[in-house]
Amino acid sequence: MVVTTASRPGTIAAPGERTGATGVVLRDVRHAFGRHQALDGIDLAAGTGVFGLLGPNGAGKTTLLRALATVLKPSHGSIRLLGRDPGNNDEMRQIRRRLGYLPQQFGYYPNFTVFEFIEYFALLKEMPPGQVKAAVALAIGRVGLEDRARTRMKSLSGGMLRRVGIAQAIVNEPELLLLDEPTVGLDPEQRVLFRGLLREMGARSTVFVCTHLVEDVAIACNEVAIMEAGKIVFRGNPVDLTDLGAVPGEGGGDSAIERGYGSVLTTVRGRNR
Amino acid sequence: MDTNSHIPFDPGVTEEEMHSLDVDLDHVWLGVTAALWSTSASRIERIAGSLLRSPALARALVTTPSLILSWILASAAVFLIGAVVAGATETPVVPLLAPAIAGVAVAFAYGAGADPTYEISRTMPTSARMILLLRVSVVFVTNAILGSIATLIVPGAANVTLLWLLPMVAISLLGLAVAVVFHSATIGGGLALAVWGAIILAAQYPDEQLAAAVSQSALQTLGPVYLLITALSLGVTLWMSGDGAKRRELAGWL
Repeated sequence: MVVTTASRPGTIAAPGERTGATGVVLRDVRHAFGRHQALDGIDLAAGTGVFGLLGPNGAGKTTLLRALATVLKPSHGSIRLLGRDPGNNDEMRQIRRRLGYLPQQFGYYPNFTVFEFIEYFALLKEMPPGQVKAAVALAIGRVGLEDRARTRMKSLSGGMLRRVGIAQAIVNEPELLLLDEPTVGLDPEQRVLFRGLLREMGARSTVFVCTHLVEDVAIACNEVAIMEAGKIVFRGNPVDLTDLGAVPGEGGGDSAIERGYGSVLTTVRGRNR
Repeated sequence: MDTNSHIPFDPGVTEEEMHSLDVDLDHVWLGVTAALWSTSASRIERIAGSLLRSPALARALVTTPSLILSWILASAAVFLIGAVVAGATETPVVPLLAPAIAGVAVAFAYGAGADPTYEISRTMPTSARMILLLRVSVVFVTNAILGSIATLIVPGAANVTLLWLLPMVAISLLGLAVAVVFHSATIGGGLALAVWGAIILAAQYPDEQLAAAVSQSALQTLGPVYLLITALSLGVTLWMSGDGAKRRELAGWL
């Protein structure tokens, strides 16, 4: 477990056991929107497993996820995804075939059925045409939308739309799965099922989950990082974070992991004053 | 009672033989459910898929935001009203409307704010540039056909059809280029409208003819300008919509 900002602010002290893994490797990644430094020297290496990204609004989580999704090219630093360079067109295409991405703002075509919508992205992901329909059916089953497969998107509830978003992300069995706030709108039963799906995907893929729900991280993630002001200020496993919040009353929050999360932010903000 | 006692045992197929058939029932079931849930592609999509040799691009074509039925009906209604007004007032309203309508429709064919799945689409291996150009081409052709029909139904206006095609190409591509650079269909469409409006106003200044912008003499004067706008806009669009590093550098700089 590491709480950083000591010798080099925003740089994790050690990438942990996953150093050298081919999943994701970032070196000194920086990006600014005008004067706002959204990413401020991110060093990160992550291999197979579920990696939770926590942090307050505006901490840079979504920007980091967009950089990993090859949507955003950082202004500084290097990124390697699945052992490939996204700056190279051919390699970026290879990465994208192996990528699954659920953005925070999930848009859809209202007149498509659930099946048609997921099928569209399976086609765009250049899956072999003969495998597309079975892969779509499998993805629909994995998010529990079997009874809605022929329903038009405009008829779905917010939680169901989110599950369609997850299904389009996993339809190609991605090696790198990036999920931004995936559990928003899901009911408790669906959240439990989703955590199971996350663990299943994390057994063979690199999965990044960006969330505000600390308990999701505690249950489903192997590792967790906390971001604040564009920097990774904590990296460890959920148990480390829980240990930080072992004493009630410190850091705020009902559960130990919430208190640990609050404690990290309080410590870092105190140092920065 | 042993219910199985009434079922005659058939020694014809042994358990080992059943295993040797190696039937993946899960896979079969997936195929059955997929067949039940999937819908056949529309005729347009099937034809596009054959022509483009890409089911992904064919599906991208039918998801073009400014090709949905309500958008086409609205464009057709505007052209129809223009044709009626042109017939009544003998002012060629349709040629004046055509570049503006096509400019806005093309700007809204693809991109942030227009395509609801734009963010996800940008992470796909299928070329974003191909999707963009394909959609833009089809939208342009659709608007050109609507404009031509509207012009042809106005008595005596058929001879002006060609006079608005060149401005329409230039204004549409200008709107597209701006939309691509600024990731905003609204800015692209708005600028296309503004530029075309400025051209109409500037052309009518000497003799106060509203239709001067689509006259033979105006085309001779402005023709090279339209061609320059077309070439520059196309170049910017191709450059910015690719996946090259220079495009991202410029986008970051902007």
